[in-house]
Amino acid sequence: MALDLDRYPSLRQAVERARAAAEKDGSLHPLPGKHIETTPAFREAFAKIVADGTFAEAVATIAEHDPDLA
Amino acid sequence: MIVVDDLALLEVLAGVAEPAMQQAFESGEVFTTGCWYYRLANALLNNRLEGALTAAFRALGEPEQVQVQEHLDALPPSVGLLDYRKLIPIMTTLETDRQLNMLAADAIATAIAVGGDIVVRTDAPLVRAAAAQFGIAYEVVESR
Repeated sequence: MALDLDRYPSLRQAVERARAAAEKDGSLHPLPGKHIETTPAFREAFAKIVADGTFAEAVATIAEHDPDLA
Repeated sequence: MIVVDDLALLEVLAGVAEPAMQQAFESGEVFTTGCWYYRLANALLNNRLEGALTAAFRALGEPEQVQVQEHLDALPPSVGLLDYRKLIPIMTTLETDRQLNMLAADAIATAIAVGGDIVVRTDAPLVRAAAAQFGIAYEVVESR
């Protein structure tokens, strides 16, 4: 199911204005990113702080203080 | 286009995202939102909030950790980020079944504006519900 903007006329207008402005200033098209080489040791250490909940805990602390970021 | 959350953004910038997401980055097809970018930068770099994550991140070692920090200090142009001059009019026009917080409105508005899917590493129920309402593809990606 795709978004049918015809169901939301006000939204459609806002989206069309945003897209036109973003097209004009180039922000609708990010540049291709460079390939990033990583070492196995880095990948392993990185995966650990995700898997052990360190990242989730930090984000939860932020969200707890600011529900708009939850 | 895909719109990624804070953890996915971090993994992309670190070069450790799952292959499809890393490929999207290299093709210039990755957007994030101001809220997710802010939450990530706050979690990793805000001295006031310094905790286990900051310490673990700093212990990752050179040069990858330095590169990620530089990218968070100045988000590269290979990550799309629409400004609020464009997004706020969309965010305030969203008619949703549930009241959205800023993070959810930001994500939905960005996905609609760029015509993208939302791909997250951490499930966000409010975003998921609104995405379903608007017919936006929403995927939670497991780590590789």
